[in-house]
Parts: sequence; structure tokens; C-alpha cells
Amino acid sequence: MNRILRYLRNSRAELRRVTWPTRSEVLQSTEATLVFVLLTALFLLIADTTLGNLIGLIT
Amino acid sequence: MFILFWTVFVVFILVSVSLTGIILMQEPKESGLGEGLGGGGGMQDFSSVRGTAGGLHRLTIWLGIIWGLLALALAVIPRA
Amino acid sequence: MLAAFRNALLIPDLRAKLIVTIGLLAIYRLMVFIPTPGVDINALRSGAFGQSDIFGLLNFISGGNFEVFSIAALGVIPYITASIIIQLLTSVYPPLEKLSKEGEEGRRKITQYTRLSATALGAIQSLFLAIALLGPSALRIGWSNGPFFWFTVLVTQVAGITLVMWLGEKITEFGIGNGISLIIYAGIVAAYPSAIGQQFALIGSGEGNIFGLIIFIVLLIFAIAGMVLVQQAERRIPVQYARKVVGRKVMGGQTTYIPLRLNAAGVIPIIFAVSVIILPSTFIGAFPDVLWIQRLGAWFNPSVWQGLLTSTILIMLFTYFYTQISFDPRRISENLREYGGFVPGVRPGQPTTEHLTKITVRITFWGALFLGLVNALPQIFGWITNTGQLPFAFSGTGLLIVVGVALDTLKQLESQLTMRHYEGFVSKGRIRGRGRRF
Repeated sequence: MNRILRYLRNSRAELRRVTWPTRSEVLQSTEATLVFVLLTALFLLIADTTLGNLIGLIT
Repeated sequence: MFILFWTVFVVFILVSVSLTGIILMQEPKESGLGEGLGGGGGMQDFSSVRGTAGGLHRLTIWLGIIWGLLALALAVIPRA
Repeated sequence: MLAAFRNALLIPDLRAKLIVTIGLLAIYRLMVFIPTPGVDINALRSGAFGQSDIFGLLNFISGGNFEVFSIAALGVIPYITASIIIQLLTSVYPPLEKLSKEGEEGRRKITQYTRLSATALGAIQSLFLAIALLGPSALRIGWSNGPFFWFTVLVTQVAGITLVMWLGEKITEFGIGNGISLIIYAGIVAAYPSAIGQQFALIGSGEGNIFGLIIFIVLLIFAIAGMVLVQQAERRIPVQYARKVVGRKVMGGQTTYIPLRLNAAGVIPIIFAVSVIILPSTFIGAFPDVLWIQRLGAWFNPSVWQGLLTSTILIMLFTYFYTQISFDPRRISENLREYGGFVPGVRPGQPTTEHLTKITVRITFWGALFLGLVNALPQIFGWITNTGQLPFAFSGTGLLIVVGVALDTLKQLESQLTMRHYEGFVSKGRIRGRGRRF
């Protein structure tokens, strides 16, 4: 059991030595990801509706 | 109607099996889902599609299209 | 930042890669609308499958086309499951392990084994689903739920699985990002519009409340920001290069660092964890009335707490396991020694390897914990505010896969941009992340 505690303590120590990205980097990456997800969602919506109706006409 | 259905059906089965076979014969250049067994970094090899693989590649495209159309046809042609 | 997207479209060969990716994904989506011969799509759409959660889960991962049992019903599930099994075997079963060490030729054989086992696994899964789950009402007139129909399903699904795998490989080869994970990504994101529409309909009819949607959007943004933070955080291990005199020039002597990551494994462990949960579900779903199976099933059904616990634990375990596979401290310490570099205070060679491993294992804890939380929180929030059953598209696992794949693909797009010395997505820095694993 104390092996786990030791591991957790060491992990916490390592966490303190981690270099975190700057705020602006995080914000910009988040923005980029959101735009990416929205763009792909839009593309998939268009693809699904057109293809769906197209095939729907036949079947 | 009966004959039409069965001819399309038989062709569809043949195309399905050959499509499966052809794809399994081809080898992907990049390791699939990031095998991660110490794979190299992002070296992009731009070697064009090699001879026979090119042929298989094109054949797969054509068989894929035919396969899709046949499946669609089967969805429309009544069986009875 | 938006300029980066625009630039990506301006560069000819990058634009070609994007078009190829979009085109191949569109073809995959086309397959979703073509039914397996003999299956009556309209009957299926009206729920001939029954509404138990297991179909919701299968539907979620196979991108909404499981419901209609299309020619791509199983999508990439068999391929992922096969990849997991082969990789687990490789690190356990000596002959496979030896093969994997034989460089390119060995790896080529392993990939071929994965593809073959994916097809075989897909055949079994499709047969099982056809026999157990498709009720007579789902079949077209003239078709009966007998061996002939099962044969048709088998042949169609096997061809479908291999074609989807091929599409994935071509996306990886000629497009941007990893084809297989992009196909899963597309399946989940494609379900967003209809899931959101459904939520609005619920709200309209007074049943649902706007809460569910707001929570999801807030969680989506937090998940993205959190995963960006986790992926870009670095535990920098200082590295000193010994000073060398080459001819008249003095070489080396500069200090750099090795960036260790909180989650070196990226999105693969999440995809694997979900696939492991799906595997039993395909079989459990077939025994609705057998009590003990259903109780066992609860542990694989993420919409109840048991299943959520399993998926969270699996994601954390896979993160550890996969970091250990994809991040090789031994190779790094050997490279260091080759170039005369060393970690101050640590002897080169084996001690350096141990040092790197120890730190990696410790910081991976935080990566794994974070992923586990993102996986569990949406469902927990859903329970707290009892916005009822969270559609799978909005589940934590879906969030992890969508954001994980988005980040990986963006990072690749960015490295392509910077390779052609254009501005990346983050003005000063870069979306730092793992090496291009995908």
C-alpha cells in the first residue's frame, strides 16, 4: 500500500517540474481545434444529407 | 425479374469476394493504427505507387465502385 | 490562426492531401447509406433493432450506420480489435516479438497479420450479429432469416470491412492524418448534428432541458483546452552535450532537453479501450433474457455506472500500456550516448534509460488520470443534472476520440505547414505534441 503512496508522492513531485504551455498557446490551439471540429461537422452534415437523399431517391 | 435478381446477386457475391482478396493482397505503406513499435517519425516517402501495386490500386477503385452499385441495385430489385 | 487554415488550402500539394482525405471520407459516408442486400433500411430505421443501449453503443462507434446495417455496418471495429490483439500478442508472444524487432520486413508481416485477422474477426462478428440480432421484421420481402441470408451478410460485411480498411490506409498514405482514426472521428462527428437536433426536439417537446446541451458544449471546450494543455505540457529532461574539438572548431557543449509528455500515447489508448468494451457487447446483446449475462453486460455498458467505471479504468490502463510501447527510453538513451550527450547527474546508457522510464511512468499518471476524468465527467454531469440518457455522441469517450484525433490531425497539418515555412496554428509557438505517431 505504501508503495502506491510513494508512487503518488513522486508523481506529484514530477508534476511540479512540468513546463506548462503558455495561456495564449492553449487558447489558440483550442480555437484551432474548435474550428477544425466545426468545419468537419459541417462537411459531414452536408455529405450525409446529400448522399442520404440521393440514395433515398433510389431505394 | 427473377433472373435479373439472381444474375445481379451472383455477380455481387463474386465482386465482393474478389474485392476482399485484392485488398488483402495489397500492402499498406504506412503501419496501420500507429503500431508504435518504435516506428520512425513522420518521414513522408513520396515514392509513387509501384508497378503492380498501381494496377491493384486502380483495380480496387473500380471493383469498389461496381461493388457499391451492385449492392444498391440489390436494394432496389425485388427478390420475389 | 485562421490564416493557417487558409494557407493550408493555398499550398498545392497540401490542398491535394486535404481533398483526398475529404473525398475518401465522403466515400465512406456514402457506404453508410447503402444497405446490406436483403435488409430493409426503413424497417430498421423505425427501430426493428430494439432500443437497448448496446445497439446505441455499437451505433455510436460504427458511425451511426450500424442501425441500418449498411455495407459498412461494422466499419473499422474489427480492424481496431485485431490491432489490439496483435499488439498485445507482440509484447507477450516471443515469436511475434522477434518478428517485430526485424525492422521493416518484420513490421510488414505483422501489419499483414493484423489485416488478415481483422477480416476473419469481422466475418465472425457480422455472422453473429446477423443471426442473433436481425429480426425477421428487418428483412425485405422474399428474404427469410436463414442460412442464405447469413451467407449474404457474411460476404457483404467482409467486403465492406476490407474496403473501409483500404479507404483508411489510403487516407493515411495520400491524405492527412491517420485514416483509421479519422474514419472513427467522422462517424462520431457525423452523429453530432442529429444528436443536437434530437436534443432541441426534446427541449421543444418540453421533455429535455437546455441544460444537457449547455453542459456538453462547456465540456467540449474544457476537454479541448484540457487535452491541449496535457498534450503540450513537457517534463523537460536537461541534456548536456560534451564539448568536442573537431579540427579547429569546438563542437557540442550546448544544452538541450528531452520533452517527456504526460500522455505520450495520444488517442490510440482511448480508441482501443472503447473497442475492448464493444467486443463483449456484440455477444451480450444477443441474450436479452439470460439474466446473468445481462448483469455481466452492465459492466460493458458505459451508460450505467459499472460500464463507465470499466471504460474509465481501461482508458487509464491502456494509456500506461501504450506509452510503454510507443515511447522507448532505451532507444533515446542509446541515441544520446551516440552523440556524446548525457543527462547531468545520470550515467549514460542503462542508468539513463531507467531514469527516463521512472519519470515517464510517474508523469503518465497525470495524463491517464486526466483522460479518465474526461471520459467519466460528461456521464456523471448527466446523472447529476438528470438530463437523462446522454446520447453516445456526447459521451466522454466520444469527446476524447474527437478531440484527440482533431489534435493529432491538426499537428500533422501544422508540421506540413511549417515544413513549407508557413505560419503554424499557434502564432509564436507550435501545437507541440508527440512525434508524428499517426
